[in-house]
Amino acid sequence: MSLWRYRDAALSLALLNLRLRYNNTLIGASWSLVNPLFFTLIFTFVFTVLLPNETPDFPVFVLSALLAWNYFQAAVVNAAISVTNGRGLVLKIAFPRAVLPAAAILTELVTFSLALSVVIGLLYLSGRGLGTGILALPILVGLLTCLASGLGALLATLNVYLRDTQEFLSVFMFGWFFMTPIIYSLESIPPERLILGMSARTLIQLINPLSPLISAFRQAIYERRFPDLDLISLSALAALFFLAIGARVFGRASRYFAESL
Amino acid sequence: MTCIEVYNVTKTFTIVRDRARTVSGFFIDLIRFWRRLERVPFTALREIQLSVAQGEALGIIGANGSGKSTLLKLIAGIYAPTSGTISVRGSLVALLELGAGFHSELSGRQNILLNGTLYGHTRAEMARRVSEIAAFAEIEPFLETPIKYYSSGMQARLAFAVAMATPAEIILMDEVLAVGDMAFQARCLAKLRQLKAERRTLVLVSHSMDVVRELCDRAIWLDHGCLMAEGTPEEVVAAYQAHSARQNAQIASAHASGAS
Repeated sequence: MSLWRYRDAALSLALLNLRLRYNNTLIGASWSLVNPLFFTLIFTFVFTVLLPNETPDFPVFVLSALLAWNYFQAAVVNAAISVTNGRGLVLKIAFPRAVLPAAAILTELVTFSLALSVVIGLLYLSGRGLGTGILALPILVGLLTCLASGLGALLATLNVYLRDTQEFLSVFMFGWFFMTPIIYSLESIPPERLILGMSARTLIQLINPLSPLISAFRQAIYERRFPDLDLISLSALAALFFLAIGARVFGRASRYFAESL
Repeated sequence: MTCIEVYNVTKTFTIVRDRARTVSGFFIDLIRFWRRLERVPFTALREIQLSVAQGEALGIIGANGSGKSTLLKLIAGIYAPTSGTISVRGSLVALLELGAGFHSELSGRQNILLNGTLYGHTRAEMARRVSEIAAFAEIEPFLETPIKYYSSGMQARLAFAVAMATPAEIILMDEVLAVGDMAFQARCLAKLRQLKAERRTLVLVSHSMDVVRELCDRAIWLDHGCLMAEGTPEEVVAAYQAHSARQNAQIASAHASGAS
């Protein structure tokens, strides 16, 4: 595959992204960790002080899902705008266009991996222990990357022809955040709660391809156990489905990117 | 052996005036789908037939807007042909604009790595060539300086040097020789002669008839997307120059009659 031959191009672009992002910042790459910690603090304040709930270790509960969500969201959004932002390169250099979304994803993967390692380290040092869940993390990160890549490639293609995509995406991501069990768990939705005659739990699981993955991250990090196999297989199904669609659509359309930009 | 085969290639672009890129525009366009007048096809190249042999140097000449750059971009694979086929045998690098892919915040060394990888090389390969490239571009003392502090001549020299460090078998160039001072131009020409001596295939778009005559084995002349002439550089340059002279004479006489 030609993307593999150009993997160093994706790496170079990712390094450029990282360098630009943390240029002129005081704490540099630590932002990838500090940012979710701040969000965790805010959610913890809201859900333990303002709206008390029974969840033990609420900060860990939120952070275990929030880290994965942050990665997913940043990866999808940046991949979606990668081709339109890379117009100058697309018009002048004949490299495989998939390098652009790949670089965007890689950029986020680097910062996410750093943040995740530090969080795991902190949890270990806090004496919570790690459990077998940690063994599943490489698989889960891989699946999350596949899902983000597929969706990102799809949206990047759409954004070439319809710039509304990137505008719409911020609203869409905001809604998606609340439709994903991040600041709540599926189990905390009352089972009798119905949406369109269907149990709300089932509906979220059915329409949200990210839901099983986020739940699996929570089981691995927060519950410290190997995630349920049905969650993993559902996640794999969703990830491979989107990756296949995204790669196919992007691959077909990318021949015409130069003249459409 | 043929290494570039352009077979009956036509390239039509769709020029879109005030294209729908917003939600409302999109829906308005959906409504008047059948009378969307703002899409105008523009044929940049018409039934081009061309083959380039391995080790050959081909010059492409013609007025601005004649389709020269479009042809290079088609061969490079940046555009896809509307009809016809293009086959390329061997590794290819296209220099369409010097400094494309350079980033002003990166140092000379980082830009060498970035640009080289976009041309399909690995970082390790490029890292080995850094000193050679810096020497050719005469930027050694500034290798670790962000290129936003470079003069435009330094940037252009670096870009040319990076591009020339490629081991590609086929090299496409779009008017990139007109950079740098005279000494550097002489070195560029020497470099191109060396590439030719190495039996690499060159396709040059140039407005410099001297370069075409001196460097190329063969030339083609494009005008408004049509292949007007093909042959030795002397013949083709002469035909192009005669045509340009005729056109200038016509414009001059039109001005003269308009003024009287």
